[in-house]
Amino acid sequence: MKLANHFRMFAFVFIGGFLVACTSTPDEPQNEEQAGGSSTGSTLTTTGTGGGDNMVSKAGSGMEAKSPAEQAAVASSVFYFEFDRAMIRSSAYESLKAHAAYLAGNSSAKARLEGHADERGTREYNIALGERRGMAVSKFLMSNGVKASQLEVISYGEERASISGHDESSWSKNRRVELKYVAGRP
Amino acid sequence: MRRLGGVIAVLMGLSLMASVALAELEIVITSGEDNPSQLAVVPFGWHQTGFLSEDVSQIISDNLERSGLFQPLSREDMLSRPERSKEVYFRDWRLVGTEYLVVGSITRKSGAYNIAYELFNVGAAKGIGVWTLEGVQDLRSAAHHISDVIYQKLTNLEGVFSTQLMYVTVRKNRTGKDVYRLQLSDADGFREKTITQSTEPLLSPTWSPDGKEVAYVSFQNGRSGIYIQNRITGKQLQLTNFKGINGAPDWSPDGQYMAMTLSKDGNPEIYIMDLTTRKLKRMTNHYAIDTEPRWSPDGKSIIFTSNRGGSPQIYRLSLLTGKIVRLTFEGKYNARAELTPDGKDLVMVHRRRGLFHIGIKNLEQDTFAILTTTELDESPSIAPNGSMLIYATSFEGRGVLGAVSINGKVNYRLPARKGEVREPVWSPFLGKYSIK
Repeated sequence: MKLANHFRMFAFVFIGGFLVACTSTPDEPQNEEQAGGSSTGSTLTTTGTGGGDNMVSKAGSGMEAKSPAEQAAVASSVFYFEFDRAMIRSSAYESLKAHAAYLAGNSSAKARLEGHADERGTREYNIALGERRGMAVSKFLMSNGVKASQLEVISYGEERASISGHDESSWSKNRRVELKYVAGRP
Repeated sequence: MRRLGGVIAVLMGLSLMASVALAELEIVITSGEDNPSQLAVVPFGWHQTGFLSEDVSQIISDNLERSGLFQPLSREDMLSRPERSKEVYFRDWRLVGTEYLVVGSITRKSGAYNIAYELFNVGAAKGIGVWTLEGVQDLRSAAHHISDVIYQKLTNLEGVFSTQLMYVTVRKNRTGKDVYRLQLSDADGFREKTITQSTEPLLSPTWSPDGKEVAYVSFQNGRSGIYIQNRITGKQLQLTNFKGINGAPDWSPDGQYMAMTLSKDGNPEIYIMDLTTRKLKRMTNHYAIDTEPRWSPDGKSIIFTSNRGGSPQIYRLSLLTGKIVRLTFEGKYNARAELTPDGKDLVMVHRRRGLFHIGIKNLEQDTFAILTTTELDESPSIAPNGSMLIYATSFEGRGVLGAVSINGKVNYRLPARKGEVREPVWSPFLGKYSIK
């Protein structure tokens, strides 16, 4: 039993690492957030009790005591992506689940998912990329009980950078989806 | 004498003010052809009272210099200043190495200008052409027209000096909000005017084939929509308002259809809209990103960007057979392509070693070259005569416009005076010079 658990743990870490390796292109620098995400080895499947990621560390193990609204209110609402990719990082799962739980339990609540890209590449391709990122977040929320009618994806592509710099540290902050409540804010 | 000095000072002051006010974009030529032809445009004669609002011969000289094919002689090096053929002594021009000579004169009669001008081949010591423009109201447009005539005579290629540029500028307003403006200017960057503006994003401007209308994507209603606007009357209509992306409009060469990207069915796909019936036809069906459609000049195919192969590359969809073939295999990022008017070359945004340049691929010979040395280059748009392309780039941390010849040798930059300038699109030929 114990051995089996260890094996499963190992499998998660291994698969997690493998996925990270797949999503990165060789000439793109990795960044710290991603390293943080893979080290937790958390949750390809579900429940995510680990959660020891820097972005959601506030929640921690005390999370069960709070209501879904309280959890959604403190959860991160900005989710970051790799260059030319639309795969959600495992480090974002915890926060996304908090939003999903709140939205699923409050059918009048609605959120807008604003997809963004960094400034590199062409504007229309980046609009498409931003939408893919928004759709990835939308799918994650819907698979956790949120109705399609509660979500709207809008892509701005590279038009609305959150940071105006021209280096990887700025770009990594601009490749993002921002979840914004438009009704029934928690 | 003192009075004359005063007049000259006033004239200089006025012309200085005029150039500061007009030059929203200032042109910096960064490289030219290896052996440009030596050309002299003598200041056109003007002997009536009053002064002219434009320096016609200087505009012609600047236009021809910007083509990269000509090296104009500076005025202080001219040994004489003829205004008509009988005043031309070829010896004066051979001495300073001039190959082609332009002379002319301007007169004013009943509220309009007449411009007579002549072109000479100095080496052969003979005239190439004599022309007269009558009833001119707008001296700057006339100067562009004359530039086109001379360029065509010397290169056998239609000139693009009377065409226009459209582009998006972004400036912060007093409250720190970005203001997007869709701007038109002459091909030399002068006479900029705003055709629409919004604090929401504006992007992907494009011209109708007759140049009378423009289309673009605006977020003015909070989400993306494709809009068509009449360039002359300013009248705007919203063409699409679908859920998701409404993007990348491009008119068919016959003006009947609009290609576009829509994600209303869950994924960015290429569609064609019949502009009369507003009926849509879906042209691609793939789970990858398909976007940035552009018609081929013959109207028989559409090229587009897709990441169906794992990275963005250029594909061609045949409208006759429905077949899709991949056109680019160079590197891992090729996007927003456009074909030259003869359909033989493909220009695109190409990524190499993490930097974005404008690349050109010859589809017949399967050769590939990088045209620009700058980085973060976007939105190549080819001049209607196929000689140059204009693109958006970054200079000293700001978005500016650059132009490069299709052979890569001529390069110039049009810096923005205020804010950023993006997504330039070169107009089609806008018809014959109209005397207004």
